[in-house]
Amino acid sequence: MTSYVLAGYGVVLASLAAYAISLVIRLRSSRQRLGSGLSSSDVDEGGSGS
Amino acid sequence: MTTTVVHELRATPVAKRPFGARALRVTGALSLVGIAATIWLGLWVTPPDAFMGNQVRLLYIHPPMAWVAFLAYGISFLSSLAYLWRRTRATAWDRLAGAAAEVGVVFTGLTLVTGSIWGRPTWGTWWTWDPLLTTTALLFVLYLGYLAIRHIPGTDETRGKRNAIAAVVAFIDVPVVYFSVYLWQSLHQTPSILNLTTRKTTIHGSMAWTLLLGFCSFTMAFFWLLVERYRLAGLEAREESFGLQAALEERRLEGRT
Repeated sequence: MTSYVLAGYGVVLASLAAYAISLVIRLRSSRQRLGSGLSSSDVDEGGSGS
Repeated sequence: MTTTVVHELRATPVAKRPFGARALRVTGALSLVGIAATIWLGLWVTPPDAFMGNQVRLLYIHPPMAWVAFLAYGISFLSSLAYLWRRTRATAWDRLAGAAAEVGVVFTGLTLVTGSIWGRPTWGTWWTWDPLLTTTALLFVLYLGYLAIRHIPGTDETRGKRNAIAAVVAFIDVPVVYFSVYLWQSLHQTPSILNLTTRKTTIHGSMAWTLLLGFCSFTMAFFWLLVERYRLAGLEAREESFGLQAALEERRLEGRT
């Protein structure tokens, strides 16, 4: 095994893992923001009827 | 106050999923297992090549990266055409085109990097202005430009049309990349895994199976990433509209007081 081969595999795995993790984190935080938007005082206000 | 906004948000489910969540989980798990098996086979099981030696191991990941990038741009191109055609025009196509292009850019970057790492010990240089390499670098830049264009503000329709036209224009480079090895004298080899003219393959045994597994695993990983990115695009759009509606409500309130 050469250092070039290991570097190639390392770059691919690290980049794909980093991108996948960033997507999962962004998805979770976006869901949380939207979720908190629904369950905040705004929702209670909406629930009281208008 | 923001009651209207909240009711509208309630009407549309937050976690609306276009694909089955279970199928997505299975795809993600299979791609992980497949990639792990490709690494194991590629690094420890397959023999070194008679000419390239151990450098051949990089070829179990480099062609799959390029294939996935092409697949991503193909999806982006077709989705953009679907958006441009009035009968099928829907924001979902624009989102899919953007999601596919972003994942495609990641894989194009990896194609360039793995190619460069392979080129140093094989060709003796990290980079050369070879037609295939140059057109691939151009492809990378074109789609980075496309992703930048997607952030230019405007109405949904204006942005959608602008994005779709940019994606169609950027895609012109894809066949140029593929045929560059035939059109110009290139240092890069022509397709050798399966030659459609002679119908012969130049790779056999464990090497062929490892490469095939690499293609399948990275394709599955691509679909997993694509669906997740597409979902994120939907949530981002919802957040954007939520913020806009809340701001409008605030302005109306200010006007009343």
